[in-house]
Amino acid sequence: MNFQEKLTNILKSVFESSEKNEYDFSLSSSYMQEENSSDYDLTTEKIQENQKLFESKNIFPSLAVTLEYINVKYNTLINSDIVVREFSLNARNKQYNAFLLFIDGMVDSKLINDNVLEALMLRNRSNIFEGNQNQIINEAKTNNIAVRKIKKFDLEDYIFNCLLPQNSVKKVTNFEEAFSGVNMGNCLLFIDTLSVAFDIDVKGFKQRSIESPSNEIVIKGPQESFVENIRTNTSMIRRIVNNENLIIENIDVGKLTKTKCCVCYIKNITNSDLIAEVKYRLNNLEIDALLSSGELQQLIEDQNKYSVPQILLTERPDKATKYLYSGRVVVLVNGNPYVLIMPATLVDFISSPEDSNLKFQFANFIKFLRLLAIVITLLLPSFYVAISDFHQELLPTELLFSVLASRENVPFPIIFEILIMEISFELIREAGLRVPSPVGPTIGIVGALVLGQAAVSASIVSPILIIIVAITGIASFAIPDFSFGFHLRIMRFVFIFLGYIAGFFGIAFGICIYACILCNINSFGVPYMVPYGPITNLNQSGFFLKPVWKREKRPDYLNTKREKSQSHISRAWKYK
Amino acid sequence: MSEQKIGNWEAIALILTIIINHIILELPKDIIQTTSSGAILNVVFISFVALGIIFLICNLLKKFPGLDIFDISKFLGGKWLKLIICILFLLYILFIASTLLRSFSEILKVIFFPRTPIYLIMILFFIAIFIINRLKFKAMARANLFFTVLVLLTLLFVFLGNLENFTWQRIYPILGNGAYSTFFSGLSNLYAFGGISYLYLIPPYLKSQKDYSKVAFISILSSAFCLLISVSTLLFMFSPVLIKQQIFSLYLAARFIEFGRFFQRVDAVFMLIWLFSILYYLSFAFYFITSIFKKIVNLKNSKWCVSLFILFSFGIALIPKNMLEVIILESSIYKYIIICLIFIIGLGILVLANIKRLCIAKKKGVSEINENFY
Repeated sequence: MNFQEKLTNILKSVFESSEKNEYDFSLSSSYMQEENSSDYDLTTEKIQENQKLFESKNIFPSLAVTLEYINVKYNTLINSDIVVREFSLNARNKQYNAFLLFIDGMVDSKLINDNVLEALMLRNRSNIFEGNQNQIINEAKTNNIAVRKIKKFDLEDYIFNCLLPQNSVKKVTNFEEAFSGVNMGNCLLFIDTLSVAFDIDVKGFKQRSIESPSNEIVIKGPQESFVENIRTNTSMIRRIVNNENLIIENIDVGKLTKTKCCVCYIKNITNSDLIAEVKYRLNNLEIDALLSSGELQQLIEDQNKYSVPQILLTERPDKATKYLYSGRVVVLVNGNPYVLIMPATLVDFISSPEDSNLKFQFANFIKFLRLLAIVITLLLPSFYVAISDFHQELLPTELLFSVLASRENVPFPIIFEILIMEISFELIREAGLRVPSPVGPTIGIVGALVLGQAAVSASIVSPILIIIVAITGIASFAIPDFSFGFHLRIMRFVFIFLGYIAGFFGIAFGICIYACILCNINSFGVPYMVPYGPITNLNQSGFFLKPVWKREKRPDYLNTKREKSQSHISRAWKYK
Repeated sequence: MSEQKIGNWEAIALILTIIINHIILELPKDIIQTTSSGAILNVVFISFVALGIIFLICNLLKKFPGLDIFDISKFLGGKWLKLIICILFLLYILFIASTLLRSFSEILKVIFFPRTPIYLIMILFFIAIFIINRLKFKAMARANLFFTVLVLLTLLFVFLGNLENFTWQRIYPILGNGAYSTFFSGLSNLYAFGGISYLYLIPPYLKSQKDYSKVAFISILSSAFCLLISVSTLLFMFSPVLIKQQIFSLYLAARFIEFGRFFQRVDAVFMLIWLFSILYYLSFAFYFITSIFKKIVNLKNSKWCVSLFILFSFGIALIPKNMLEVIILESSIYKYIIICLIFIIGLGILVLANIKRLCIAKKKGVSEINENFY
């Protein structure tokens, strides 16, 4: 071994560390493979071409072919709530193969059993005579010649008129119409040899007994929220999505609890890698019990060491649907009214379901306010500490005098003063949540007015600090996502400490590391700070919204199978 | 390496950060010191020269896609030349980063922390650098992009906010101390574009190699613009004699900005934004230092390399006894190191490597050498 090798070995033994075994999943996206973007487009086109080839309009007379078609269209092998009930139908003493198609959770089972299956399957009096006998409507005899008016037997009419004792039945001849009915909660009856299907109204999903959302309130928009029952939740999503490409797959999580989870996505939109990754993570959880979606969130997040949330939770079916159509995956957990949406970026955490219901000018103004709220929540107390201790020159002289005068009687250092108030505020907030609801507002009033006023009178804190803490508190309520708001509340204390030890230098230190950490996080292969870090298509997926008719594309960082969400001219009426 | 690839905008921001931080500190002041009222003309002149050099570098690097200066020097002179170039670049970045850190810490001490020991201020910088370096390079580059935009805006704001304080006549005599000092001896001010050194290092980190020229030109053009407005701000605000006696002139210019009675002293806000930029500059510097070191000793993973260099840098930064020594170091040694390393050695290696490549191609009787050959 020569000197150089010896030296290299020594250096290696001193400095080399074991390779980081980091789990690094990334979506094969267009912006990551700019060079291969043309290939990607080709693939998308090919997929769409294949889909067109597969589209069929009219119902097939052969039941086997229809069944095969429906199995593929609805992905019945993986879709957990799609039910295909095959049976033999009795009509005029003859049996016909038939099947029913409906979505579990959206239909009334009793109606199906009593008014559809029983009527079709059981032998009744009208069914006992021979199959193809013609029905005699009236008969007249003249000169021993009998003239009979008969009606030729027609299975389609016979079933429609005699065997379906249900108030609303419609004959449909094409699949598009038929699937639309199923997606709305109807049941479809297909019979061998018939090229029509019967769309039977058996809707039975939960409607207004579902409560309005308590934590994600909107003014203009649907007022219903998810409930504990997973089937009710899937039916709500199905009803809003109203498309057969929605897949709802069942996965059991927890060795002992076997908690039912549903992975929902839209087959022809969502990236296949993303779907596979979500299922992979859910299938590889070695836990005994899964009791809530919050637990699941922590179990499948990319980087748990940071407090920043990386999966979106919502109680609103319309929000979940909106994200499904943008190409995300939604996971429902049985027994939990919150569903998980993944991947999620920072922009998603500061967007509200209200935004898309409002005109873009209003929405953008509110979004700007929210940005301001984030800055205030995170940095206002620390800026106050930094300016009071290190950068007094920033304040105009008159204001500086009044700040100093207000602090004259306070014996504590500013950090102590602000920590007292911030912790008191957090206590009031926590207590307000825990106390019985009639007492809740009282706690707030007592906390805010009495405690604040008393603290100022007792010279424990200065009046200006009360203003700072109050503004910070109000701003923190303007953040739409609870988890993200919580994260900011924790980070606020870190920044207060940094502002106290080194003023703006400390804050800059904190912001630099914080920004770098945010840029380092990935949520299911999607960078957390996208579309700003890395810069992707800002026009279509930026924080501020474009007019609704210009939101043509889905977020490019999700690398969806369908790039466009609406045509270039969406308001076609205007140009016709 | 694939996970460390950065986009064009991130790469542009990286180069800009390197140049802007020197602009924020002492660069415009040094330029005005050497060229007096001819500073603006000098900046325009050296910007054109820098663009010419960039054109040359881009063309020379075209034949070595995805390779940095070290790989090219290995192709040219084997592993020993690579080792020498690696060590030279490592020492250069380490020296520049350490002096910049010391210089900025001294300024912070003077402005905000008069009673705090300098090493405590520096330790805070080192902690931030250490933490940021534990994260991925691309995260660093992405975060830096946000702050670079902010810093560019502050430079523009200092210029526009001080318009009413400008004495436009200070541009005369337009040639300053004469044509010789503006265009010939003033050529040494080319060191303002020291960020070009990072252009030699970033090819392996670029997502799209074909955009290298775009990155190089946009970053140098933007830097030239920043340099021009900073030099203009100082020249129009202070007389060249006064500038000689100042430290951190751009900060002093920021102190003059006022809007009505309320915003009268917003200089601390500028300082806050410039601190972001300085922190990222140092983080990049230490990232490249450790990656060069890893290349030298052929290390794949090392958690603690960066801490070693942080300690080194800490030592180097504490060597100068006071601010004056730092300024002398920056204005005398720094200038010539950059000119030697970047514009002579770096370009020389590229030219020779291209000649060697042509010779090999000639010997083999082919017009082009396969990329895998390197």
